[in-house]
Amino acid sequence: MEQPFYIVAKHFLSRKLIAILLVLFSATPILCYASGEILTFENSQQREIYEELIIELRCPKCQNQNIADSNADLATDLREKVYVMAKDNKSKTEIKQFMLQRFGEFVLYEPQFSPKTWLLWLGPILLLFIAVFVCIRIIMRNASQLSLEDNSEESNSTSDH
Amino acid sequence: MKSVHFLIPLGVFLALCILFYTMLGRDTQRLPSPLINQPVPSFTLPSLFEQENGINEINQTSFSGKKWLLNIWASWCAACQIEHPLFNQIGTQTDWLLVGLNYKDERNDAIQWLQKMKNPYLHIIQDKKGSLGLDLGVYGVPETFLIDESGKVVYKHVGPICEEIVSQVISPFFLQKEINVNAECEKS
Repeated sequence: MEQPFYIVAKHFLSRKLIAILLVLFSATPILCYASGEILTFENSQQREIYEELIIELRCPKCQNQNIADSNADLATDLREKVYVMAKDNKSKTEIKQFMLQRFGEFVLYEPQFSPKTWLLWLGPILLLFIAVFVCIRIIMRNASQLSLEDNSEESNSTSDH
Repeated sequence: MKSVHFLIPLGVFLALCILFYTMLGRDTQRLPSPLINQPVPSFTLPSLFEQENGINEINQTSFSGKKWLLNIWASWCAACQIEHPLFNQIGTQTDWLLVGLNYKDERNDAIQWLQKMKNPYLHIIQDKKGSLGLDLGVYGVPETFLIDESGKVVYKHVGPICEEIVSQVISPFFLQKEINVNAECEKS
């Protein structure tokens, strides 16, 4: 006896198959970033460090691209270096420091806090303070003008009587 | 007093204009090297001509006590062909120690290239995997480093060298004069 189609489909779409498909599809963005390089890690922490760093590190050759995005030779070398160091259980700061010593501040998309960059980091807060200060002054001035007008209106009304 | 207030945004605007104008035309490909005033990274690499010069391995102390120039080049690098005649020219100064770093290259290709272009280098370091290149922060071949007697990097130039770099940096460096670290190649 021939089996109805939906039973066949149900059979093929077993939980296992769905699980495999899910894993495959979830892997695609990683493969996109690694531009075809298939990498294996010993644990998820290494993978995390690698994936975060290749996005955070800027390619010195092909400026304004991170090393994950760029397909320049140098970016490939740097990705490999990050991979080797991550697999060597190096921490994120250690790898960043390694790159800093060689290529300078430029490799970091997020600059470190230093005498050179304090304005960059604190500038927005400074601007916010200035804005709040100006706002308060304007509001206070308007308020005092209003109360003055009130007072004068009051005095006008009293003088009318 | 109040009448002056409207001038503040105008002043800020003009200040920004001046700032942006002075920054225009700056070569953004040139990055400050963190290696300046730092010792040359340690390395041990084979010499390209192991038989001829009698030394097989070169390391960071091989030239200590001498001023030397390190030029990173490769046979696959087009810009290296542009600067090479200048190295041939300054290579005639026998007391100027020119060292080449053959970067991520095949030995045979490198030797053929040198036969065609002439070899101004006293020693050539063979960096097939680019490990020393990475430690030197090489991001665009050709690059040229100047290293003093104590093994410290005093200058780095990215891209092909030119007459200006030779006259304002390299010759003063070897002649014990002050170098112009801001020297730039005239764009033709």
